[in-house]
Amino acid sequence: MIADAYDEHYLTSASVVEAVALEIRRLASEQIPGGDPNRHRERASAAQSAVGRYRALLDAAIPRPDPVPAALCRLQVTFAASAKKKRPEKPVHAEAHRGESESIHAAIATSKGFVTCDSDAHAVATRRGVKTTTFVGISRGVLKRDPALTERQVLKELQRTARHNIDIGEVVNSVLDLR
Amino acid sequence: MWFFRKGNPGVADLPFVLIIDDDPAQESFALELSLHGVEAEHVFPGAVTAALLDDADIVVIDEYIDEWPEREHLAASPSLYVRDGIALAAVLRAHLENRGVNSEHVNASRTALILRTGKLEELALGLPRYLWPVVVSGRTDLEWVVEKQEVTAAQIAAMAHATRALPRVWDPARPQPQTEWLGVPDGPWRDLALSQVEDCRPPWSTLALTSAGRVWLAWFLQRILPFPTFLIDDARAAAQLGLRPPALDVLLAGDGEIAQALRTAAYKGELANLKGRRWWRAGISTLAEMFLDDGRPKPMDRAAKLEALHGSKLERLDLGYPVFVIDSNYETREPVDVTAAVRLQPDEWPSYADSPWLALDRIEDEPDLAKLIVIDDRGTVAADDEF
Repeated sequence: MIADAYDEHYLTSASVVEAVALEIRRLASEQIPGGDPNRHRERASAAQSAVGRYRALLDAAIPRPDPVPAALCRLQVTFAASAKKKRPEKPVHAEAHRGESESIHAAIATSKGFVTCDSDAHAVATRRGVKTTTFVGISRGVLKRDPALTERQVLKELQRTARHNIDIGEVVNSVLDLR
Repeated sequence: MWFFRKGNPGVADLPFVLIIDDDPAQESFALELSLHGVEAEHVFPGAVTAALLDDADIVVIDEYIDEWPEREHLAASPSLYVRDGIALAAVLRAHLENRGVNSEHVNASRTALILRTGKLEELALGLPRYLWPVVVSGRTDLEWVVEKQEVTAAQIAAMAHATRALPRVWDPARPQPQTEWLGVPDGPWRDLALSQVEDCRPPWSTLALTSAGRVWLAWFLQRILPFPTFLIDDARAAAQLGLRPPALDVLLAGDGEIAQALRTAAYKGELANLKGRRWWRAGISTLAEMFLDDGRPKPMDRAAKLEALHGSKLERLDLGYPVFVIDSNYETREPVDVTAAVRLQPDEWPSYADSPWLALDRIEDEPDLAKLIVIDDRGTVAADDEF
């Protein structure tokens, strides 16, 4: 329901970077082992839905600039340093945070905002003057634009998504939190 | 003595509490009440007069009335025999509203009727304990129901003051008297708070006008204070900030901007002392947004920032997405992460209040609550069971 409203009001101005498109396709094809202790099945299912629903958007993903500009390299270094600081024991993968870095870089280049539910990405983007919003923020936006959608419907869908271990960016407990 | 109450020079016009009870010991409860800034008088059921009733801001009625000799000769006539406090309340309400065949006009009465009972469980007929006063007061057209063993003189006095202070003008387009009664502070989150109040369906037009505000009081007592609505309790306010409740007092003891913002977010309206501390939801979320979020509206990030600003460790909640679970009595328990719970839809729980949840690991132990799992989550529970 939120996706329908998003498509109607935002999709024409939306874009996605190549790294995010690749990540969504990777998650969609992920084989979930039996038991699913980390509850990845729902995440994979959401990714499969996204691949089906947004094929055109993913196909038109903004490619990674070649050669890679220094600004984009600096973004990746910033994310890597933050990850290292948070969990010093965990090695940082070379491709980690490529999606966030490329998205912020593209947002700066196109003067657009950036949808992310990751706290670090919020912080890095904000420091560079890029406006960010979360899934909850997008939901508030579609509620304002779509009179057919009720706060109750949106609350239920957001809570269901959060229950499935998908980060929606904020905590919403009641329709009052959607104001 | 009553006829000196109003207009007596030199005597402050205090809210008046009328206690109707067959127990002579209630004289001492009336005295105790008078220590809380109200006038109070205890009368036996047969001694209630129209003048006493018309003067009262609230009438506290005993549920089980054994000693009422004047009533006993009517025992064979069910329509004349006032069986209990609830029946008496209905009779008194008819008087207060001047209803009846010989009445020239029906009055809107602002007098609140409160039942005081030692056996609320019997009236509630097997309902979850947390809902007893909510359901019984709603079913019986009473503003509130209190348990004799638990209610204090200060709480009754608070209700009397709140009733006396009820607005006289009801116009949702100009809700100034209502916002004053609620105690909505001026400040950056006032409009957000008002929009949240509006979302909680306040009866602030026709219903309040035609009941002289009585339904407003009932709405606040029965639909707002007991549930997480535009006002939230310590546990929920702290959870929004990624903390446990004791951390709120630590923060309040400070003298910086956070402490000041927190003090402003505390609910200080007419019934602030009735059910423990409450916070304006809008005040807490705006505090977080202004001082903590930096574009990171998540409880754990907020807690980290609060610690940095406060300069010392605070008791953290450490949950990514805290939700509050209830037990079979509908009492709120410790929060858990959203991924470890399912949503419930219990009767009487307002749709605008925070959803109540049931922890996944309690589903087998709480069969009655498990029946209330929302349709949306039942499939997931079944799927979880397969693994």
